[in-house]
Amino acid sequence: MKNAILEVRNLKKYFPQKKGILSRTIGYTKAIDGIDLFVEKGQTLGLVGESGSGKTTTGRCILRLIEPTEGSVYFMNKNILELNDQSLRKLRRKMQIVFQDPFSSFNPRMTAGKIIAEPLIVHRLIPKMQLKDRIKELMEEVGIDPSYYNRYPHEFSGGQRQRIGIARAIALNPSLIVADEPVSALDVSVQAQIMNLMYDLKEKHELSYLFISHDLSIVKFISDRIAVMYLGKIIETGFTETIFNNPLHPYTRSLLNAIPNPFPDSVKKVSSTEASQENNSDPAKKNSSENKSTGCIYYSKCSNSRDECREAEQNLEEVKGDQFHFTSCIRYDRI
Amino acid sequence: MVSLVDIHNLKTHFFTSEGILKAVDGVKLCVKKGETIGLVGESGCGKSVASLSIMRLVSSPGKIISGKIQFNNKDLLKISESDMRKIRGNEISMIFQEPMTSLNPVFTVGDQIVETIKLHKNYHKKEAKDLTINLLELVRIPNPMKTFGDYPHQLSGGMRQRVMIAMALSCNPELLIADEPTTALDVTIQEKILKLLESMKEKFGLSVLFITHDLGIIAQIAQKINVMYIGKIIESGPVTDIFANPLHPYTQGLIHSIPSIEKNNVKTKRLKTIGGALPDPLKLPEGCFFEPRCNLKMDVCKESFPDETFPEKNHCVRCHLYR
Repeated sequence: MKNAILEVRNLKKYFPQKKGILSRTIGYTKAIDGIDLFVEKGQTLGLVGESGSGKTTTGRCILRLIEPTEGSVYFMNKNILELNDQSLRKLRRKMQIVFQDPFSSFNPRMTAGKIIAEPLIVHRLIPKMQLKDRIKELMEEVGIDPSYYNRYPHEFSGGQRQRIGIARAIALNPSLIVADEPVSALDVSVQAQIMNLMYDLKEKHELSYLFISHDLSIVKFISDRIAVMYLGKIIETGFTETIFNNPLHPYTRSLLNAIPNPFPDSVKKVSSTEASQENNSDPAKKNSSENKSTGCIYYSKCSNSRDECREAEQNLEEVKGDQFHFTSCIRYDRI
Repeated sequence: MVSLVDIHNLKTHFFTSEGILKAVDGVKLCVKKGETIGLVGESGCGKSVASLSIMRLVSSPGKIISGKIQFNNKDLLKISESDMRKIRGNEISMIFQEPMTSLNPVFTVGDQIVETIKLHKNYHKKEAKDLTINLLELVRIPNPMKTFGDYPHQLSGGMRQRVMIAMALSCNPELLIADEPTTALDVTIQEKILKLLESMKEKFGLSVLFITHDLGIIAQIAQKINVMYIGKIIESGPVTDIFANPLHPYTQGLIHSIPSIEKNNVKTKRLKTIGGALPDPLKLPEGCFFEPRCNLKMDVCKESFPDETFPEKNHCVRCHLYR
């Protein structure tokens, strides 16, 4: 079934921790610790996790904006980690990124038109004569009045800036867009507009998205498949419906339970008894990503952990009787 | 129930070089003892300015023009600045959105809480320190003795927000204003902070004014909602009524634009949106401010801003549809 546009195998990124005046390396922070994922052509993979789980680092490693420590990233059947600068630049046309913060991802001294034009100029794809027309066309496509061509980023609202960011990303007709929390800085009403825009563009241009977010309700809306990340590892992956209807890993379940539900017939009121029973989930006890090489990374926070979890090797295993649904929990069928 | 805060016709305007910006324009709000009131709206609608006005913390070019803020039989807008200082952080305290920028980076978190206590209560250093450690324990910080001596940058976002809550509770306030306290946090941490607030509320008998743009949170913790749109409250009522039967087209739009995991919108693949954006607050339309974005507009909407009507008991709306 795989017609993957992007395939990541055993990707690792370790950041060294330095100490002292000689800045000796005293250990490593394992931001990404051996993940595998793939994005199919024309589909969306949602990458979910809390802050610090390594989702942004993953996105950046895939575009080779930072160099991974180990692993391979196949984009359109080429391992981009082995390419030289020149061929990488060619391939980069086909992969673009939309950043989280529409306030800091633009040069404040460039006008909206210039911002969208830059990738086209850098890659010399369009004759200068046609440049302005193409930019106006792009602005119209993302829902920005082309007469705003000469405005500066500070003159736009958050939602409009994110539209400019999207216009910049689609300017080169890419095949893959890595969207790193594109709507988390926006209000709900604007958020819905941007999500609809991203969905329409995907249909129109046959884009594939790697959609990074901590908000499961948004990921559910746009994704075909979901991968849940925790402390640098993917702990569960499967089709969107599978993950929402039949989450197997305890962490995925706790994430789903934590979403505030705005529809009161099913509103669970927060009760204080529940609050006082708040158990062993203090962030201080969270095992940091530096230590431990064996056993389950979720062990200390899991309410269903047994001794076997501490020892066992945790790999993504296909769930019995459920194709394409993988989880790293060894006790998934018993909890 | 006795009302703790009663706000009448509050107007806070900003006198900018381009004109008068009416950030809060005739807000009416009432918080009863032991209640949690939600104040909802998009960014730029004036919800934060409204909360700062209650604390009288609006700075130039902003000014509170008129109105009445009745708190425990005192009008907060009439009392002197020194009396107001006694109330701030003592009887009314506030939690802000961004816990990193609202804590002082060069003092330990313990010292910052001690400072608040010593300012308002006649405590010795030792007593204040003991109380602080108790408070840190109460907000479920795992190692309060150690955290007392930590600087804000050594704590995670959730921990900092816990410190902020401890500080806000340090003088047993009657009213807690929470201005988007969980917006900067992850869902799992957000859930914990909300639970903590709820249990603190019961323990201290607090009343809470909860400001957010996230209707999902409001549904969980508040009893009443006030929806704000460009300086005015356009709909207010009990949570269940507003969610079951939103009256104002804006409220309807807000509720429908939430991507819900319950609603099965996987098939439809479109989210409902509110068309357009907030109008320029310096060039507001003559009639209803929502008229340019409204899909149910009538001729009368262009002429005047609708007055309050009560189509249901306790459920108030400002829309010409319900005249």
